[in-house]
Amino acid sequence: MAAAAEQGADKAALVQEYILHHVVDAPYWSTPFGKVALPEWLTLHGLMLFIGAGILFFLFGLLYRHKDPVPRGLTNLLEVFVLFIRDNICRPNLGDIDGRKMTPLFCSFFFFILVLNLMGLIPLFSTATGNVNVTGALAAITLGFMIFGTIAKNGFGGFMAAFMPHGVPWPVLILLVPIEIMGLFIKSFALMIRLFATMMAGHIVVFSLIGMVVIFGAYGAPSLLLAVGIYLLELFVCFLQAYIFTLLSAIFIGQMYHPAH
Amino acid sequence: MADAVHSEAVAEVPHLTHEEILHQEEVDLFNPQPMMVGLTWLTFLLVTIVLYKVAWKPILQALDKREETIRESLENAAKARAELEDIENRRNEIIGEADAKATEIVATAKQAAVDLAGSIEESARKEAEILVENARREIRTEQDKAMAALRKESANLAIDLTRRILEDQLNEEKGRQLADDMLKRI
Repeated sequence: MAAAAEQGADKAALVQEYILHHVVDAPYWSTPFGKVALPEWLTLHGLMLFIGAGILFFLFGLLYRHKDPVPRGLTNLLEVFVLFIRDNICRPNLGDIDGRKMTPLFCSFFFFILVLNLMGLIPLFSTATGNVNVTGALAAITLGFMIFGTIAKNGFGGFMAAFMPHGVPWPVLILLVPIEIMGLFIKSFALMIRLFATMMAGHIVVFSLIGMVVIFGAYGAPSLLLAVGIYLLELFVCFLQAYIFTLLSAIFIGQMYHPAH
Repeated sequence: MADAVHSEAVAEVPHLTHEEILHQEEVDLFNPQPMMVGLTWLTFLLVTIVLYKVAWKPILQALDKREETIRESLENAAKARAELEDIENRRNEIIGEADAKATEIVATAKQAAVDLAGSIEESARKEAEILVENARREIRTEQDKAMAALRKESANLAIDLTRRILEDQLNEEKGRQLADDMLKRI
């Protein structure tokens, strides 16, 4: 009995170890033909970034037909996303002029994150957006626009004005301005953690459910159905998180560009 | 450092305690990797620049152009419809005008005909009246003439007759007096 319990605990530890291995970055790429060692400067998630970029180039460079006067098929699908980003994310939050100007940036955000998210659902690939360094770098771009973009656009005074709401008495400002400045970083930090945690958590859940089979044998089989369900949910979450990251970036940058009066 | 630990763990089937695993998890998940951040920025920059050239700019331009085209088409359609309506109105107006004019022409013609008929009748009547008047005057003149002639003739006849009757019995003077009296009585 005790031995069985120990064996179960061992299996659980094994599963835990496996899951952990799967979600964290690695210096090699596990393929069905064995592990491919990666150069010193490149890790698995870094490779995924490059592959994701390659997929995007392929998708938009080769499959997208902008010569057609009437869009069809994939072209139409991609345009729907671009149009949605322009009209439902950028223009309402950044204003018509800035929104139009910055649409390419947000299109890049959305498609880059989306492709990286979706790659995580395909065997062989790994989730780069499940790496906090990747999401942190992306959130830092948003933060950069919130700070330097605002200074470039509104000047340093305009940048500071974003922390001082109108009609607030100055004693309150002493308290409010540091909080607002902290908020600037907290918002970016939240962007980073949100994307990282959701992508990571989804994969951990899927693998945990599959791990049930390892631990409980045939009795754990029904959990595979659950795993499929979670996988489908993940598919949705991939789009959702890409959308949320893009939308929140637009909202945060918009708040800095056009501070409420 | 954490990576190294990790690859070792994979190489030999792991026999880590829970504490070790938990510790490792903490280290691994939030392990800052500046290289990774740099790679992300690099890739993102590359993606943004290349896709801006290849995709975003042409797509957004195409979308703008299409929106413009659709708006123009709609405007043109509206304009064409308005024009058509205008033409229809004009047509109706012209038809109405023509109708009114035709009615007017017919009315005028009818009036003219009536007037002409009236004037013809009038002039005919006047002419007839004149003719009748002339005839009457002539008749009267002729009558007067005839009457005068008759009077003269009858006077002469009477004188003649009287003279013949009274030639023997009366002198001429008495007879003339008698004849005058007789004439006056007539």
